[in-house]
Formats: sequence, C-alpha cells, structure tokens
Amino acid sequence: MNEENFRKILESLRSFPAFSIIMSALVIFMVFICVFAIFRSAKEEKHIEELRWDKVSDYMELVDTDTGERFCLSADEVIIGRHGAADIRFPDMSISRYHAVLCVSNGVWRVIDLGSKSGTFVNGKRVQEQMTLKDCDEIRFGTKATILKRRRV
Amino acid sequence: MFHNKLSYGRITFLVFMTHAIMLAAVLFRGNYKDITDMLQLTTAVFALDIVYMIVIRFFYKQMTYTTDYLLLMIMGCSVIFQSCFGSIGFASKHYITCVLALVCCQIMFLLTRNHIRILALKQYLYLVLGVLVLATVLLTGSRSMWISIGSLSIQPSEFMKPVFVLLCATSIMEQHDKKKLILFYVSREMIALTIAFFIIFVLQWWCRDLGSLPTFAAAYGCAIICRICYPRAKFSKGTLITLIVLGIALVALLASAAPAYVQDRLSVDIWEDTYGDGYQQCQALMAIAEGSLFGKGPGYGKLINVAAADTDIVFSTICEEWGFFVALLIIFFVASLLILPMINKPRSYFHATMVMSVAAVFVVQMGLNIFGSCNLIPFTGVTIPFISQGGSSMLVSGMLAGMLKSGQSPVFRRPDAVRQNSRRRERAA
Amino acid sequence: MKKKEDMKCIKRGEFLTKLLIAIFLIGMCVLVFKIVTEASFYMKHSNHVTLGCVYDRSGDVLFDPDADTDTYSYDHFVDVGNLIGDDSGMMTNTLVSENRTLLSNYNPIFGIMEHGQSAIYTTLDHEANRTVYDAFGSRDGTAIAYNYKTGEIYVCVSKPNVNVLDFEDVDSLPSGSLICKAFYRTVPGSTQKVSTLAAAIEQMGFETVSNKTYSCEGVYYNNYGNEIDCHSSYGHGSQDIFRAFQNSCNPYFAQLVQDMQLQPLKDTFRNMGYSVNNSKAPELDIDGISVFRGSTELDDVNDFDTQWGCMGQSKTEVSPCQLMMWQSAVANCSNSVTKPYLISYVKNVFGNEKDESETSYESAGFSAETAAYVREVMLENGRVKYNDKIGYNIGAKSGTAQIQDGASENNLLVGFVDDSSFPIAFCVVIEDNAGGYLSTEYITSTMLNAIANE
Repeated sequence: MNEENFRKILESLRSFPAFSIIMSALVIFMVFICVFAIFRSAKEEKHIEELRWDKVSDYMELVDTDTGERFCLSADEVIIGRHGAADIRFPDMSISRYHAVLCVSNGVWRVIDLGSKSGTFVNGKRVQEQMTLKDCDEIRFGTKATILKRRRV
Repeated sequence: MFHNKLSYGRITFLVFMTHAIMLAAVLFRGNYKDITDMLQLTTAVFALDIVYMIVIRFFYKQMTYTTDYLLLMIMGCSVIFQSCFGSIGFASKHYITCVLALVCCQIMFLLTRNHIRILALKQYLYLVLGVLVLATVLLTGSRSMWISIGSLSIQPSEFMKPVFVLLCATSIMEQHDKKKLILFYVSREMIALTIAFFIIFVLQWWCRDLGSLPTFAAAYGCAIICRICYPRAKFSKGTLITLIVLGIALVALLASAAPAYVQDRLSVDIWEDTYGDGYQQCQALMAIAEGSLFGKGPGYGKLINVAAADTDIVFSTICEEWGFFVALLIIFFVASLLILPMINKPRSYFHATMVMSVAAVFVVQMGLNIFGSCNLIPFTGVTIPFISQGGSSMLVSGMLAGMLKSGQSPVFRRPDAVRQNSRRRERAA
Repeated sequence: MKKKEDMKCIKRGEFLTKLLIAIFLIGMCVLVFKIVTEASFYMKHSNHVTLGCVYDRSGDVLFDPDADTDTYSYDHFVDVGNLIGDDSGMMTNTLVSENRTLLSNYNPIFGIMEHGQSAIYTTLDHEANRTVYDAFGSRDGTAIAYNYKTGEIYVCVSKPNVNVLDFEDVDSLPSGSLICKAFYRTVPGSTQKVSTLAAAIEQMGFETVSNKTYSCEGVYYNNYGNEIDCHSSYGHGSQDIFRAFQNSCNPYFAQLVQDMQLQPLKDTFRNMGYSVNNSKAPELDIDGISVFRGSTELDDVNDFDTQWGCMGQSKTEVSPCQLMMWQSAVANCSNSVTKPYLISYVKNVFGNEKDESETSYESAGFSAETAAYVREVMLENGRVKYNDKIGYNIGAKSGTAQIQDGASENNLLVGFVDDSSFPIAFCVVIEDNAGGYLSTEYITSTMLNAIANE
C-alpha cells in the first residue's frame, strides 16, 4: 500500500471520535482476554501444583485417633496447638497454646516440640527437640493421640 | 526439578496479540513522522516476547509460568507506553532496563525459591543492607539518594526494598523462643528487623527523601502483624488495636515534627500556586482531563515537557495519550500480578510473608504515585512498578516480581544430601 | 475430610494482601470520582485546549482565537474588545473569560478535540456596535441597548477599548480600556431622579405626587439650612412633577425627598437592587459577566447628602446596565425587570446547537402602577425634549453627573422606545463632556437607527 494513501485514510479515520473509542476498546478488551487466559492457566497450574505437593508431602495426613478426623498438611510448616492461630487446633487442655510444629522437606516429615508443658511423644517416645517421622507413626500431643498416615491414592 | 505438562500455546498467542493490538493502536492513532519509526519498536517488543518465551519454556523448569507471561506482557506494554511519550520513538534505555529487570527477576527467583537456603543466608542479608546503607551515606553526594557513576546514576536505597522484604520474610526463624518485653512477646529477629527499619527511616530522613518510607513501613507493618500471630504471641484484638493506635500516633507525631519541606508538601494548595510547587500536579491533573476517557492518541501528549513525566506522574502521561480507561489497565496489570499468588498459594510461612510484603510494596508504591500525582495525598517521588522509567526502580521491581514467582514455584529441599540419599535407600528397600 | 484448607498464616497473609488491594481500589474509586467531578475545573486552567469563535447575530465574527490582521481588518474587534475579551487571560469578567467552558473544544468523554466546532452566537449586532463606537468620535463613554421585551442585548459599547489584534502591553492602554463600562459603576446624575420618582410614587401614590407643586427660585435651603442649587440660576418657579422632571429641577426633588419617609424610601431602593448604606445588593450577572447594580447612602431625608444622593450625586453610583434594566419595567408597565442576555445559542464540540436564549425576569422593586406612572412622566419628557431630535417616540431622562468633585462632567441619557415593534431600552454615557461637544441624543439616535437598520 502506498504510504501517502494510508496516511490519508488514517486522517479521515481519526476525525471520527468513535475511532478512538474502538481502538481503546480493542486494547482494553485484548488485555482483559489475555489476563483472564493467564488466570485460567494459573488455575490449571494450581491443579498440577497440588499433585506435586502431594509428592513433596509424601501423601501424608494427620489423623485424630479418637474421632477419626483427618487434617491435611498443606504447608511445609504446620503448627499444632490449642490457640486459635494454630494451623491444626485441638481444644484439649493438655495441649499448649503452641505445642509442636510438623515440618516437611524432601518428603520427610519431622515433628518439632515448641517447649510444650505436657510434651510430644512419637510412638511413646518423648521428642526432645525434633524427630523424624515415618508412615503410621503415632504422635501424641499431651494426651491427644494422632497418627501420621499416608493417604490411599 | 519439576516440569509441568501444561501447554501454554493459548496465552503465548494472546500475549503476542495484545502487543500487536497495542502496536496497531499506535500505528492508527499515533503521532509519527515516518512509518519506520514504528518498526524498531515493533521488532524490539516482539523480539523480547519470543526470546523470553523460548528461554522460559525450554531452559527453565518451574512449576508455574503464568507470572512470567504476565510480566512479559506488562514489560511489552511498558515499553510501548514509554516509547510513545511526546512522539513515537523507541525508548531504548527503558527497553534495556526492562530486559535487565527480567534477568533480575529470574535471579531473585532462583535465590528465593528454596526458603531453607535463604533462611540459612539470613545474616548476609543484614550485611547487604548494611552495605547499601553505608553506600548511601558515603558514596552519594551531599545528603542525596543517588550515586552517579559516569552517566549512570544508581539509587542504592531502592535496592534496600527487596533486601528488606527478605528480612521481613526471614524473621520467622527464631519465632519459637520469644521473650516477653514490656507488653509484647518478641524474638531477637523482630528486634533486629525493627532496628533495620529504624536505620532505614533515619537514613531517609537524613537524605530528605521520605517518599519511599511508606513502602518500607507497609512491608514492616505487614510482617509485624503476621509475626505477632506466630507461636507464643498472646495474639489478641487488643494487641492489634494497641499496635495500630501506636502506629497512627507515631505517624501523627512524625508529621508534626517533619522538616519544613515535608510540611509544605502536606499543606500546599496546588491551585494557588499553579506555576510553583503545584506545577507538576496541576499539569498532571489537567492532562488527565485533557485526555479524558480515550486520550489524545499515542505521541500527542504535551505533558512530556513537564519534569518527571515518565516517572512520578507517568499515570497522567498515559492518561493523556491513551485515555483514562487504558491507564486504569496499569492498575489491573499490577493487581493481577498480585492476584496470581492467591490462586497458586504459597506453601510455606516464608513465602507467604514474602508475597505479602511484595504486595504491600507494590500497592503502596502505586498508591503513592497515582494518588500523589492526582493530589489526593501529598506528592512524593515514587515510581509505579514496571511502568515508570528508571533503572534502579525497574530492577527492584523485577526482583520483587521474582519473589512473587518463587512463592508459586517453591522448592522444598534441604541442602544436606545425606538425608536424602538415606531416604532413597530406605524407600528402595 | 478437610482437604483444601489452607494454613492459617498463609491465609492471614492473603487476607492482608486483599485488604491492601481493597484499600487501593477504594482510593482508585475516590480518584475516579474526583476526576469526573473536577475535570471541568482542571480544564479552566489548561492552555492546550483550543477555543471556538464568538459570532454576532448575523454571523459576523466577534472573537477568533487565531485572529490576526491578515484575516481581519485592523479595527475589526475594537468596538467589542473589552466585552468579548480574549483568551490571553489578561481580561477578566468578559464573555470569553467567563464562558471558556462553553467555548472550549472539549468534551468530557473525548477530551480535547483539536477540530471541535464549539461556538457562541451572541445577540449583539456588530454593525450597530461599530457605528455607535465610531459615533463617539474622540469622546469616551459607553452605550448599551437591549430589547426590553426579550432581553437580547443589541449594542454594548465601551470606549476607550482594547484592540485584541494589537494588544501587547497592558500598561500602555488608557485607563478603563480593559473593562466594559456599561457593567461598572458610574455616577448617574439626574437619571437617578427616575428611581427617586418611582420611590416617591411607591410611597405616596401617584395622586399625591402629581398634586404636589414646589417652587424653585434657583436655589433652595432645605430644613437643615443647606443650600441646594438648581442648574438654572433664575429658578423654574412653581412646578408639578411633569414640569420638574422635564426641568430636572433639583430644588423640586430636594423638597420631594424631604416629604418622604426614610424607611420606605430605603426599602424601595433596596428592592430595586441598590446597596443602601452598604447593605448587600443582590448579585447580577449577564451570561457569567458580573454586573454592578447600584449603591447609595440614605441617612436622613432632610440631610443634604441624602437629598443629593436621590438626585444622583453624593455617594450614589449605578451601572448603565442597571439604569437600562429599570427602563424595561417602566416601558413594559410591569413590576418586573427583563434580564438582559448576550448568548443567543451555542454550538457544542460536535456542532450541535443548544438554545441559550431565555427571557427571564426579576423583581423591579416597584409596582406595575408605579411603572405606568413613571412611564407617563418619562414619555411626556421625551415628547417635549427628545422625540424630534432622535426621531423615535421615546421616554427618557437625561443626566449630568459631576465627577471628581465637579472637575469633569459626564452626560447620560436613559430611556426606552415606546413602540411595541421596536422595544428598545437604552442607556448612553458620554464622559468628560462638559462643553456638550457630543450630545447624548446624537449617540442615541445613531444607535437606534443602526439597530433599526438591521
């Protein structure tokens, strides 16, 4: 196309106020579409990420032996205690406000005692500072008994 | 490392299309003498798109790529915006800083994706902060924030931002042995963080640049609020309210004790002094009104003749040329960058705090810039992340974006390989 | 099973982030609201916006932002310079400076439009304006005329004036160039007697006033013994209101004022729009141009100053425009004044016309009967003194105002044309005209002829 002709067409187009609306609307529309597509991909990624987290956490979950309630462990540091701010909360008076922390790295869970009054026990053995956990280990916080279990996939 | 098996064809295409549409808008509405002026810009934007996408997809393995795509789109738009100010020409300096910012983003991502490693490096962070503070004190000329090396000028105080954000995020380590001090349970780390904040505060006061102080204050405040909820804090609404009241009282005290130049900023009526102190803001507001909803067209803006048109009042410059609606997209961009970590949530306390602090920094910077230039709050010389021109701030924004990214693609691996090997043997058995 | 639950600290961080974003978005909403509501205010300060033209009633250009001597004759704008004004920001209270919003090529949705079609079409008659301006010759002064039925201003001339085509240094201009004198204060002289007469009829009734005869011996000593001079040193003898009005006899009016009560007199003057003894007069603006109404001081009807005040000297000041407006009530025999306007219709930035001409009224401050009696008196005065000279059937009152303590004299003439097909009310002021070099009758007849020729 001849550039001069192109310019003339542009000049005549610009004289319409609607032209600026259309161009702005196109830009905005395109950006929105693009950002929303990115959000959709992010949701798909979320799914993949969850699968991967399962791998990192070795499909582990904490099971309350009394009630059978199951707690998912969805962060690499999970605080157990009586306080409302604890991630897993047991309203049991034998448990300190912040009792213990469950940590994971490389698919290995450990329990760290936060200096609780009544102590943390793994398979009946008191945790001094921290202890590595295996599948089906019984963890007792004060008098509250729980089991670290691998989920059936 | 993990490679997700998603296809990113659609968003790759859409990012290309978005840039193409924006360039088309420049072509149709823009102010250029020769059509070849556009060629350089078009080539540069698409080259960046292609190279970055290839690098990301084939040389890099991570969990989530959406932040990268969003970042790439923002960078492209930013280059287009900056190239159009006044007249259309390729903003090569801004382009280079954009590329460097993307590199910084990747470096920061690699650095912070494994929080166990960064926690081990914590003392070095204080060291870096100390070096930056000393650099500001010693190397910059008479009480300013800038170090000039030849034609380059660096603002070391900007680089304190990512360091400070990391400090906030790493202040988690010793949470378990808090001690009660007067009213609050505090740990050594919280005291160290508070001292670091105080040093930054004093430094900025001394340099007569209180503009970026709210940024640090926001990150610090968020970290504090998150931390007082951590183990052993007798966290209650009372504590929170006490803290907030104390904070407000402190701000009020500082405002009344602030130096004269700050006081002037706080009380000035810009329309009384349209050619003096209020010049930039008046021009900025007029430019927004002149551009109105759909703008004058890229390259037709007149605000570029005002000082700091491409940094401090960049929102108005974009408003004038592209219209108010498109300018609101900037907010949408940065907000979506902050929304992404809410979809792919962080999996550790470290990353959660880090993402939150980065969000606080971004939001506060945008707020200070946009509301300041529009006279809702006192005018301060801060930049909009990714959109404003400026080397230091661009690199820092890139680093912060890298942190956002690492919150979504973290790695949970201890540096000690011995345990890993023993574990493998165990599983094999 | 609680599968998707997130850990609390992560949630807390997320909550804080959301809170920050929410605060920011609220701020953005405030910003949007602020900009939407204040955009027109910002535009007033902007000098990037182009302005449209101002036209007279026949389409002649009165203001063109790009005007230069190549496209217009050198003195094209000189007759309306300080009424229409320009975009330099030097002149305030002009049509352009007060109606920038209407004239600017700006639309709140599309912003600045370089090639917008904004324009203001005024009611003025440029040809008539120029004729009147030229008629002033070497004298300064002002002349304003409007249609007392509709309110359209046809002529509004003020001299000395500004030539916007040749206007660089404000200091070099003669004083009074930058303001349109028709809208500013001037000493009314004997034209004030119209107001005093209206106040007297309002207070005592026409019967009483018309039955009153006072004698004039050339000089009159009032109740306090002050000397009131008549301009005729021989005196006018015994006269009724018609004769006294024709003679503009000062002793007659001094005695008339002496017979009135102070409070009703003050009330009538206040209702007419005067600021009496520094009271606040209602504001008057003509399409944004603010107009002075009148002010006087009335303390005691027996007092020298009050009596002179009622005869248009002393501290009394009125704007020519207001003098002309009262004539509309008189001419219409109405208790309301027709408000003058300048803008007939406007075109917006897309060229769409919007009618701005609307005849509006305000209270005259005296009753319709009073207006009718005043009209009779004025018509009689016109018939005796002016109709032959001017060539129209008019009701009028002349005035000679002494200014600068008698160092200089202004001549005034206010009146109306008694013709329902040519309803014009006018006010003419010739400054520093002690020798009678230029007669107000000449200006008036020139002006009326020019308007009639349209």
